[in-house]
Amino acid sequence: MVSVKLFGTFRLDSGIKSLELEASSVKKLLPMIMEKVKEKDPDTELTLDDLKGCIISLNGKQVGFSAKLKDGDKLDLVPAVAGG
Amino acid sequence: MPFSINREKCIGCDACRLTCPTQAISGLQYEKHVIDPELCVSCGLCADFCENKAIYDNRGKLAEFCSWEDWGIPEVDAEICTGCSLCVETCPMYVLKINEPEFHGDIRTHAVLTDKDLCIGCEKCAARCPIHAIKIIPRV
Amino acid sequence: MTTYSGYMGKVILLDLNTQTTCEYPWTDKDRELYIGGKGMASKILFDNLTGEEQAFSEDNLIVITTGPLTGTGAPCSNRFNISTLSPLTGITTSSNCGGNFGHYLKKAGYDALIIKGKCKEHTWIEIKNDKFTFHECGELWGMKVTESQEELQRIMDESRNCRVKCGILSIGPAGENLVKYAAVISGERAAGRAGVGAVFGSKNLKAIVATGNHEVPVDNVAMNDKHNLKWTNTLRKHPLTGNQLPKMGTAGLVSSMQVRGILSSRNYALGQYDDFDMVSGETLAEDYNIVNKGCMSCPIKCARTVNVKGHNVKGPELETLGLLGGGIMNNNLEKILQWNYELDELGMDTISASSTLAWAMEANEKGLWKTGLEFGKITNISKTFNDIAFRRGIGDELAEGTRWLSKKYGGEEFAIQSKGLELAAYEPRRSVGQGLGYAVSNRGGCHLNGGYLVIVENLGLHADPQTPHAKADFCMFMQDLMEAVSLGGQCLFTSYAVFPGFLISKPNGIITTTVNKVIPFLGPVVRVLNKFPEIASFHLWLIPHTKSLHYVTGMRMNLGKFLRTGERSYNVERMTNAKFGVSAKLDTLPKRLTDVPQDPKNPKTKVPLEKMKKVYYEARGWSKDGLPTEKKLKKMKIV
Repeated sequence: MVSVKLFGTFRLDSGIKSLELEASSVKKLLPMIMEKVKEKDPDTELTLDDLKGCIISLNGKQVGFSAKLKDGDKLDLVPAVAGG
Repeated sequence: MPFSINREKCIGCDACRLTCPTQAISGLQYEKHVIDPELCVSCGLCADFCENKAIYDNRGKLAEFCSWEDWGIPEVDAEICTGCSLCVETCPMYVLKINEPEFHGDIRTHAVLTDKDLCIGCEKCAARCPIHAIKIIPRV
Repeated sequence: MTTYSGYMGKVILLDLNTQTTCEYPWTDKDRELYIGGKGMASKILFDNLTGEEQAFSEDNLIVITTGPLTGTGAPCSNRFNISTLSPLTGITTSSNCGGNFGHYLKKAGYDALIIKGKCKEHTWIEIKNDKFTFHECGELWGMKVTESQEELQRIMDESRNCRVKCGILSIGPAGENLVKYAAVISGERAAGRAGVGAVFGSKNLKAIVATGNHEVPVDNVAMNDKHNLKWTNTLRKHPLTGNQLPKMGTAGLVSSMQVRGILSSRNYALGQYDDFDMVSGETLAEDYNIVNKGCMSCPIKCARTVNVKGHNVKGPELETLGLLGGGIMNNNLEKILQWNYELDELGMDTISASSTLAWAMEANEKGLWKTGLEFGKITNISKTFNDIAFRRGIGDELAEGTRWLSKKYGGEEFAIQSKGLELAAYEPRRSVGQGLGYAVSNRGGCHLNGGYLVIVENLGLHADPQTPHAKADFCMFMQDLMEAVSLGGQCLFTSYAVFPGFLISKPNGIITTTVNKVIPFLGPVVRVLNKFPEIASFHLWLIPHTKSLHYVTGMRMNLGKFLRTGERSYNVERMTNAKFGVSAKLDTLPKRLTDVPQDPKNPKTKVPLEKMKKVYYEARGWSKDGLPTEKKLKKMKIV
């Protein structure tokens, strides 16, 4: 199981803070997250593209889409959009 | 266009001060009254009450009362309005405000008219709005 | 008088010693060269300060300036600027504030207010059109910020027997007690940094209230209205200013900064904080935020409103969350909201206050100065803030800031300040361009005055944050651009739209990846633009500020002129600082950031400051000492 935490406007819009999912790589994981979002709100305007616009942090380190996942990994998905 | 009181004609009856909706007129009874140009919204209500015809507009003409039914009220287009609150800050009667969010996390707030009966139709809000989100519509 | 619209045409010099006013000569030529805002203030300080003055001496000036766009309704144009000699840094400072005072100062008929001398009694000033009245404070002195503003409003209302619309500027107990980083507050917004509030306090000036009935003239009303509508729509559609900032405020940055490793933690020892989610903008939005508010005339509305002890008050900004969260190893968001409220009420800069606190915690841990302040211990913090504001016990020394403390007790390598001003929450070791900005910034360790390169390196775009290549040129470009944006009286957030939405919302897309890769090689191109901005003699759709200035004032304006004005303003401020001893020697960062890598395994994760500084001075056309040359000043028409 991989514990996924969502951040940014994606989290606010979907209303989902965290998930527990089973996947072997980040690439396979993203559509699964999207399914969960659709399950919660079928009319959601969020798309897989929004999710792909995220910075992915695996156990505190930035990784790409091809990164492999193993049991007990912690994944943070943060939209790149930011300003302050 | 603020009104002013002709000092020669004013007898200090105090009628104008009592009727002024924006409390722009000051003066003691039996003394000359003055209109604060900053607060005056030229509604002409004072002119209607002035027995001595002492109130003039900025062109030197006798001020005329504009009937209450003819005062317009603002209508805010919620789609255009950004809730920047310039109109709220401008409204002399404090009858405009930014609405409460409709749901938790709502970011599209906009200005609303809280009490149309208190609105004096000065149209300052519509003139102030930088993106023309406010239209003046008939009251009745 | 002026032939340009947008200005009220009057600058007033207020002498507190004699309680008299006179008009300060400010010509149309000056308006063309400096526009207004910070540039105008810098020029006035440059002309009037000799280098002998001290922050708390009578001959120090407070210059409050507005921009030509202030009060015209242009997006986010409600800002005003306060410049003075800072007690914290000993050099000039400028602090920008979004409160409504600027708007009402213009309604009273003035572009700027210059204050000199010192009141004998505790005083507040009422400005009503051309009438200046000096009132004795009485019980007003000693009141907290909101209380004093409510009392002033009540006095105004009572004197005129109706509700008066006015702009109020006031200080809290911190300013009265000369805390070196005291703020000046207007409404809910603060001109916080570098101790302008303390200068007000030293002049025995509690508050200024402005009201009036002038209108700001606009040159081309029809075109200006059209332009405003278009611009407002652009801002509302942009992913940053139309979605992220309204939804989460600046606080939304916490999680992005965590991922990029630039969230300063444990007094800048670390770049990440494990419990960041508990103090993040998302949690703030979900559990605490009531509504997003903004300054007057702002379509972005990034401010938070939260409930503290039954009051609906302004919520914390990113800097406060970062520094009072990970900075002192605290994961209790509710406490941060409360402290933020308390600091605002006391009238203190949250950045410097929390940074000083973090330094004291580390000094206590290392045994340099035993104070009982510890990382992660939150029970005594509220009391410490109050002690600082009233200068009691350890608070008396904490009120002097980290530079002073580290000189007295040691620990200069972890005193996170530059030129005396504490750094903001962005950890520069994984964003080296930002590090350069902190070091060379005119007012000291300021993230905005330093060019805010972090948005190119980490937030927004992601150009290699570790390489020094091209950073100096981009730093200068961003500094000049942001400087110019603020001159008109507008918020810096309007310049986010410089980065088109698609670049930012698709960080892994082909275009963005290419742009990121190319940026480090763009140095020479930006250098040419910096050197000869005249070549950009057009309006660029990404920077609508130039058109706005043109329509409002009637001045001839284009991108090149705009950038040049920003550069001029930056240089004149640097020259004023030079009178107070600023040179390359003072453009420094603490050793922790330049010598100790953030990641012990990666020696690259530190700021290669000396290398970048050299290139930066070259780019600016300054001497090796970091000062503008005579030739440069002549070219810029400063002398």
